[in-house]
Amino acid sequence: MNAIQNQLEALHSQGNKVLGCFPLYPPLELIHSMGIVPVILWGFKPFFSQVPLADRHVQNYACSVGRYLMEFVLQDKGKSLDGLLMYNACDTLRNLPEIIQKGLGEETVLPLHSFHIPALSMDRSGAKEYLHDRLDELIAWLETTFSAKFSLESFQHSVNLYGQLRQLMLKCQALAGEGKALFSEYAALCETLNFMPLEAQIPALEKFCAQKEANKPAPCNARVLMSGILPPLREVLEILESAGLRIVANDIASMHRAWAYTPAFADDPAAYYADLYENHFPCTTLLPTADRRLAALESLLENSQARAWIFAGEKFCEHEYFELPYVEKALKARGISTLNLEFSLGDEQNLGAMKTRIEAFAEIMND
Amino acid sequence: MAQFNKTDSGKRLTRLITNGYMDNIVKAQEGAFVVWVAIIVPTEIFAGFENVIYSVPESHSALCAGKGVGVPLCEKAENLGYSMDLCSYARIDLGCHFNQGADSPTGGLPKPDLLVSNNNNCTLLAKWFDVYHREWNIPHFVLDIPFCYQAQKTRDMNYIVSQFQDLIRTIEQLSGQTFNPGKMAEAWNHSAQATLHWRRFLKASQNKPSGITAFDSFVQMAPTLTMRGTPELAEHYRLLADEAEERVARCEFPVPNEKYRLLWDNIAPWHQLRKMSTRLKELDANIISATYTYCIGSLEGSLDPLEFVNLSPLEGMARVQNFTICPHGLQLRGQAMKQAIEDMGIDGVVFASNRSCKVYSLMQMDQQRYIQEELGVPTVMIDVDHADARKYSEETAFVRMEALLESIDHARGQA
Ligand code: SF4
Ligand code: SF4
Repeated sequence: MNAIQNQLEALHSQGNKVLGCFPLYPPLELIHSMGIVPVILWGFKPFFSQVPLADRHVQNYACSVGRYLMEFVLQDKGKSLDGLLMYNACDTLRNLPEIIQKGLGEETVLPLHSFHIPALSMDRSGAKEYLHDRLDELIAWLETTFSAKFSLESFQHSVNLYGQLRQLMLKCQALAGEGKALFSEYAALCETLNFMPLEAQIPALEKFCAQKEANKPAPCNARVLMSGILPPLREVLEILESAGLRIVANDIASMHRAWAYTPAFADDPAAYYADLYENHFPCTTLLPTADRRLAALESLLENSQARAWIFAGEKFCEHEYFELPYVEKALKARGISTLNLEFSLGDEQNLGAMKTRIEAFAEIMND
Repeated sequence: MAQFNKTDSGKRLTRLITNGYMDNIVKAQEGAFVVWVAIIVPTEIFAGFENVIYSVPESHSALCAGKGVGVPLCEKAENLGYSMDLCSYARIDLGCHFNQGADSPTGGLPKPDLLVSNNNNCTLLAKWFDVYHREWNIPHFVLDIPFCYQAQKTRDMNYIVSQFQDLIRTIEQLSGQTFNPGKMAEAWNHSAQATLHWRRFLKASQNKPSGITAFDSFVQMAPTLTMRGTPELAEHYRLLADEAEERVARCEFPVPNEKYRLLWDNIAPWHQLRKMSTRLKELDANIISATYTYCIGSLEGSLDPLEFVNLSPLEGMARVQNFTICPHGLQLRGQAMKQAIEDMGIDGVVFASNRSCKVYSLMQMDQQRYIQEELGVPTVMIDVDHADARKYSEETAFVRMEALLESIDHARGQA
């Protein structure tokens, strides 16, 4: 059993109902408000060097995020999860619900719900109403599956807590930007937080901030912004940091993109989520935010005074790779240096080549 | 070799396709409002306008791949920084249009005034069109089509209809033209007629030996994408179906000694149509049908013709957003394959695993197990990218297909 499974089993044995969610931006507040612990199914890379169960069901040209999550769910067989929730994001994920159900077989009953977030601006006709309808359906599913009850008061409470969480996440990032914490430490913290209940995440983040705030800012010239779906493996972050690069800001889907925008409470979950998805920090996986992405990156670069952009590409992720040439060209035109790194299953075996590239890049930046 | 290249329908098809591409170039030069669409966008809507024309980049990419220029165009896109892992249709298209139509047999497509994509065939397509949206500063209208793991729900249909209405308003505003719903309804009728004839054409595969090959259907599906809503398409498919029936009546078969009746799962291998069909014929094998083409004119999980009674044209168009096989999930696709296997007397299934197309491919391993283990039909999986010939090895593929034929023989021996 790996560390994540241990964490989830512990959650379970404390009597929590655990809902595995994918991909990154499910309606967390809503789920939490109904007394269910949402966990986003990412961050398995350090625990699986191979994915034999997933390999029985999907070809090796599915991204590693999808393959790891399948491996986890199929190995777990519902031991630590009480249900699965997925929403539409990409072509790989779209196929997974049915494949996972096949893989689990008839003997494992793991309730699964597919949620649809409108992939268009909420100003388009029908979008808000449709989201409303799908959220009602989700609430009904959660109520039935988990014998839970939705209440506006609890929702408001959860919205407030998630608001705190978002602010703390941003604070941790800022500490890394100032050189009071290492980005690798912050990323490692995020990995563990994801499998904790929200009530434990907040104090853990507060503790991290309190510990780091007193630190003296480390000087650094080579300030970089990192983009991607997930942060690279800790080993890679450490290579970057030992090469003298400081990740002062990030546009990583599981990190800054997820936490940067906090909607105000609305006494209707549909209005709250319409606001969240409409004004979300731009993400390659949220189609209507695409037009705002370059401007958002530019302002991150400006505010953090980063001079370089590192793209941590998830191999086979079309959403990320279609935007890469455009972003890269635009940033280069502004004098920003760029480095493309690509990550896939089994990276830990190829760290040598990556190290050489990172060091060469750092050398140029430090010159 | 697929026979319809040489027949009247083959010749008529070449004329229709060539004229279609040329007409579009001329009309665009004369001021028509040009829309680029993803294949399932309901192009009948454009017929409701006086002077709106559309082009289909996916179809154009298939044409490029079929004419042997897929690889150089992919390479051009890769040189611009587009990853080799992206769908080859997209790479061909980007390689072509960021090089002023270079290498395209048609000189490329007329530059669009509007891009219309959807996320039901694949989400990738919206990202691909977004590239042009940014580079050329052209509006991009995305149709959000909720994926149906089961039959489409009324609320989904209504949501889609409201987006179609939005699209109509958008085109009115951008083009300055007024929409005429009567003309759209007429186009919709032509499409409905065309699909009925298409299904009649496909029925020729039920004959033993089959009256057609899947390769014929691959070639002949092109105008479904580029000429939907026109009387010419309905007429072409009428003649095509008549011709197929007549050939069967005259006992003219593409693989006269047909010993193995195969089903193809995935997009057509555009760069291999001639070679693959010829080589299979030498083995007395015929891929008589394909999930890619038998879905046209049917609804999710069934091979039966569409029924649109009681639906308005916009509602009917919303229903057919689920008409191709790509937007089907594992269960519905398995259901349709089962029906195809039974109706057509399929001996074996070729799963073409296609690195470009995740929506189509990432369920084939389970589908293969289902067909092989639960239905007891021999299967094989081969690697074929539909448009990037670099990702295909003919010898490896044929070693596997020959093994499939052997397992069919073996199964027969045991029967
Ligand atoms: S990394 Fe990309 S392809 Fe993979 S699951 Fe996420 S969005 Fe989909
Ligand atoms: S081939 Fe597949 S991935 Fe490519 S555009 Fe078509 S549906 Fe999308």
